[in-house]
Amino acid sequence: MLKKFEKRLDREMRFHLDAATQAYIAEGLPPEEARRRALLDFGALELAKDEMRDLHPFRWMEQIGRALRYAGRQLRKSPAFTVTVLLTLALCIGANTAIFSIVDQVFLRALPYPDPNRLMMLARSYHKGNLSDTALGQSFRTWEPVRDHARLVDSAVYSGGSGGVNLFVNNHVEYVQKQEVGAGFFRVLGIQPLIGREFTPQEDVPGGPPLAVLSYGLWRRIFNGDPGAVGLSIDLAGASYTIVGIMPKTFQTDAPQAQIWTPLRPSAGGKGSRWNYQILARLKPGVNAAEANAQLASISQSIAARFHIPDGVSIALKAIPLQTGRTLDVRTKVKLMWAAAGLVLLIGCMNIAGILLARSVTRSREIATRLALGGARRAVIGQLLTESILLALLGGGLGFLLAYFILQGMNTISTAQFTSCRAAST
Amino acid sequence: MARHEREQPEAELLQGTLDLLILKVLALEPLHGYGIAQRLKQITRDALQIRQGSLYPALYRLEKRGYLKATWKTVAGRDAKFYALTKAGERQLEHESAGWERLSAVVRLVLETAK
Repeated sequence: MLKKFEKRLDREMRFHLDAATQAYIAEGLPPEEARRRALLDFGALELAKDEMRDLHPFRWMEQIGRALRYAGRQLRKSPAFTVTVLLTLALCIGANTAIFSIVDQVFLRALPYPDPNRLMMLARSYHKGNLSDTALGQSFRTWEPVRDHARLVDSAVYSGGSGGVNLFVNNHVEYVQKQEVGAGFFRVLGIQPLIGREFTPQEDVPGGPPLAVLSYGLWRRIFNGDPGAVGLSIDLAGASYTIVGIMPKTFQTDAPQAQIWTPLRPSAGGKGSRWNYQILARLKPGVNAAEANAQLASISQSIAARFHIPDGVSIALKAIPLQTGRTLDVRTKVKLMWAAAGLVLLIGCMNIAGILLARSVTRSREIATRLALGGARRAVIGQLLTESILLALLGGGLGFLLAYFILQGMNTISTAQFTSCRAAST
Repeated sequence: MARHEREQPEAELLQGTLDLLILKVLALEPLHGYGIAQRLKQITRDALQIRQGSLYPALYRLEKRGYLKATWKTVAGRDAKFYALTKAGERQLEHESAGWERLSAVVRLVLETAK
């Protein structure tokens, strides 16, 4: 586009000069002299051309391109400076991006369920004097009174985390993660099965029928998304389970690897005798957290009587937001890491500012020369800005890559950790 | 960009005037750059020194603002860029002429009163 513009510009100027030359020749001047006079009349040709080029709508693109190329040359000329700044930027931005991705997940991102603000998790809080502690694990003895008396919330009990089992169905073998959930678990989360239903309270009892709800992905893989899969049997760890429901595609629980859900069948024995359960609660319409907590506190008195609690210690059930509950054990750590990453960023910025300042001192000669040769202040400032922007973009890109790898690494580590936890719990 | 810094306020005034003159000349008939220069020279009887080099940037500027429309035509076997007034250009000419009339009337008034 610019080439065409140049060509037309040239042609127009040439037409003018030729016409003016012809006019002088017609007056009787020799061609050489005529040309000279024509040029003289015109004035500064290149200056005029430059002024016209400035009016071209895509002129800025060309100018930015040139500024970037020049900035690139400048940066290549001082590799030590460039590498230092780029690495500092990459580390600062990478660390902060990675941490912020975690902060976003832990504190900011709303849970993927309808009305997530009304979703709660029940916690046990212990008090002695001004000491207190909170734990999320529940047992059958805390679930029973909640189920029977906590009328202000819609609650469900489930087992946090998942365990691996071997799945056999029509010659298909797969090692999948299974999570045990009580009746009403999906209803409380607010996600209905895509096909079929969830477990009823009558089924979710010790000795109840062996049933299973599948994830969308597993259903697609094994049954090719055939709706007729509901009602069929699958074999889990040697026992036969009947499929009653398929969950929607995006559904996830707090055990993100879980692909199959079976009834928890809560009981006072076995798992239910320890703190292996978790209780999910949704505030009923028109109920606020304070009201629900008041009711839970009154239930807590009957709970306290069921446990051997040291003198002077009080126990109370408390509803905390599910978002908080799910991330309870990492919240403080994440905040600390965030602060640390912020400090690193601050230090990095100061470092880079210092380095840039030092560089500008060494470049004062170059800048003085440019100004003396008629370089406009705006052009010099623009050039310095372009260099900084180029550095920032390159550093940001590297930081982004670094963040990606950090997060990948963290994922691998945490998945490994969860798997070992699950293995330990089953 | 250095050019702008070296420009004096009088040059700015002259530039505005040049735009008006160009619009006026083109209101009669479409012309190419050289033609405009010649016409200006004739009308002003050489009294006004217009560097031809400053004519073209002014033409480009007016074209960019939509006051002029350019077309390439062949003149004596050569391609020449002809400029013509657009509707917006006509309005601008009226606007600028009125402005100029007002300004010169005021200047004249001041000069005559101060005599």
